[in-house]
Amino acid sequence: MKLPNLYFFAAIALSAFFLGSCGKSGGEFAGYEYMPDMGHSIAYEANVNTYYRFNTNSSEEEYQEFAKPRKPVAGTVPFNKTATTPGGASEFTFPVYAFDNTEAGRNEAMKAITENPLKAKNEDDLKKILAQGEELYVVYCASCHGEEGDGNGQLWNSGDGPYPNAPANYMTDDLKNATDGRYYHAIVHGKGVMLSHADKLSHDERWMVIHYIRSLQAETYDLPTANGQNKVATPAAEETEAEETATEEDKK
Amino acid sequence: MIYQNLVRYFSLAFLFLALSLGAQAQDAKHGKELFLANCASCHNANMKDNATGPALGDVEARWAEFPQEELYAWIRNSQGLIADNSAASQAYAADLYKKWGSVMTPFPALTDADILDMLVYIQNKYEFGCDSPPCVTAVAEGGNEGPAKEDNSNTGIILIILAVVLALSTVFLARYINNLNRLAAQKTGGEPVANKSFLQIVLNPTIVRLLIFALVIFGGYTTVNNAINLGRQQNYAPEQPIKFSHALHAGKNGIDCQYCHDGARRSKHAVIPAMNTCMNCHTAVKKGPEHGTAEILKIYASTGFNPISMETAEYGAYFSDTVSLESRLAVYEKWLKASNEGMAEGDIKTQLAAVPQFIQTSEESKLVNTKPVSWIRIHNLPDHVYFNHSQHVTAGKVECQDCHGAVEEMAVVKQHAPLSMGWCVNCHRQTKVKFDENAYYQADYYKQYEEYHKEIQEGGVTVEEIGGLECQKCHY
Repeated sequence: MKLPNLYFFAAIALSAFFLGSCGKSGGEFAGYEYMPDMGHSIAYEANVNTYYRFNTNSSEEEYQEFAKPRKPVAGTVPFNKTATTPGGASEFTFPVYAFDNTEAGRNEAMKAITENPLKAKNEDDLKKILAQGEELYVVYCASCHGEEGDGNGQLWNSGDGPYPNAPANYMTDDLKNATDGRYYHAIVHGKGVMLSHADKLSHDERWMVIHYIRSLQAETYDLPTANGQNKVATPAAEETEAEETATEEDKK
Repeated sequence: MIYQNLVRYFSLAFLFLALSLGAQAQDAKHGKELFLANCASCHNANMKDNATGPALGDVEARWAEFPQEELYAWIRNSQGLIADNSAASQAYAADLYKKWGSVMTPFPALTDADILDMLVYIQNKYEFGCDSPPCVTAVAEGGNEGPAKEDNSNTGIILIILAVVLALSTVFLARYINNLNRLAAQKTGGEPVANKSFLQIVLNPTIVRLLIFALVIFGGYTTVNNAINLGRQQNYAPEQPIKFSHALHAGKNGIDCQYCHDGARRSKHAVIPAMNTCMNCHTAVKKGPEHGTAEILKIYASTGFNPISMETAEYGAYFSDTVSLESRLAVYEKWLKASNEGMAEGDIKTQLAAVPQFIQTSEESKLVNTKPVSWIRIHNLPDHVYFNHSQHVTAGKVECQDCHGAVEEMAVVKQHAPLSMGWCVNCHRQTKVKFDENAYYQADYYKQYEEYHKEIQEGGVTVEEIGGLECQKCHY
């Protein structure tokens, strides 16, 4: 059998070389697609706005319009287990926050919301709440208010940081003696230059964070675990009992 | 003699200067402490921009027409001064309260000396940009450079030199053998062999065959490799509509990844944050260290924020949709001019030119709507793969950097991992599940496991409990 001409091999080698050398992604180029009809979602996907020609639901303009981040329909109410209403907490209602984003609303909230509706059932539960509260606090609060809650996070950095306004210091008598409503209102509506963080933390998560802030204060001021302040209980059984009786008294 | 006197005078003068500067620095330092503790929550610490309260630079000049005690009284208890009918500045104070609309916290404990110190600090900071002159510019930190690149260039050069030397010696040897052959042929009286040219040697069929063989192997290898990479976007690093730098925000400023990507812990998507997240800081931070106002202006345009709402009170803090593009541009131009002193007109125009992209005008109603920023998504998984962020972040406790690389060092984000199936599978093979102290696995996971184990050992398990009543076990 005679082998094909040398040029035949040369042609194969060259075409293979050229085929292989194209299509590497990097920089502005996203690379080539392989079987695009399996790669693209026909349904709308969050944070995706690459229109694909096999999408038969809508024109490209309509698709782009729908793929944008959108506000919920007017009147949409988030569902959650607990609620913060002027009357206190109740289970299985919609947490419509009843206080306006005004100075008057803030004062009302500070008067009305005096206790944390997210109650720890026992010491283990409290530990879990505080652990989760700490995680959330570190992510969403600590860069301004400081890991220690002293109002000196890395963004403020004793006045040298990039942020131009001093964050609140939780370790002051003023904030130690403030009701929980002051904290909750600030998270929902913001205060001063701080804006609302309602989209970052769910209802329960806000209360976990407040639990954690209270535990930081309790550590600094060496407060007992009872009296609504949540220092992580020491192993001594008496303290836990004291706390449980306090919670029961609160319920009454 | 003269010199001695001169030296004496100079040293005296120097001593005096140093003492007075030192005393002033002391005052300003005390003033700084007081300012940061009491005032900075509402008044901008650069003394130039408004915040909840007005910028404090030149405050004494503004109050110069009134007795000094009244400024002090105003600082101690602003509402008291407004109520005081004998005060010369009562009307001015009432106007200020009306304009700003929030009550300043009273500070009755401040002494006159305290307030004086604070005023010294405020004016120093406003005029010179530091606590007390002479200002010493901080030496830029040099430790911020990335990890040193691996130095491969040396070995590369050595390899090239070696290759050249070998090629040359091959050519020389070939020539030498050729000449020897020719001499041998001459001596034995045979027919002299023709001197081969270089081209003839290179185009020798054996060499050409070898070359083509190598090309086929190499071409096949790259083709297969690149075919595997089809549809993958490793190293994809597009320029975004706003030059947001992760190196600055997550790296230098140390903001947690999840502060902005708040979906990562609780949903399938890590979430490209909506603009209200930017505004959480940029309501107050109005100038960046790299692009100044240029990129922050885009945030304001896309959210409809009015950065100078005190000067242009008719619009409020956010523009309503009836405010036209022209009026918005006018406000932004005024802001840019005020915050970029001495910037060329052309540069301001360039910055303003970006605004219309972040705004949309409805043709029917003529209303102006803010427009979400069209960020370019970098990490794309095909639709036939399901990936959930919360499962990896909350349950798996995987660090963001494990998949996304050192994003906190990237000014422009680049896709670090190939996001290929092999890459996923490899990680799933090697990663140990973090059961301990993990709320998702309830911490007592091992206890539960032991209980099941005991139950099986003791023989209390029915066929149903190991799936014996699944329909398909019998009816397949």
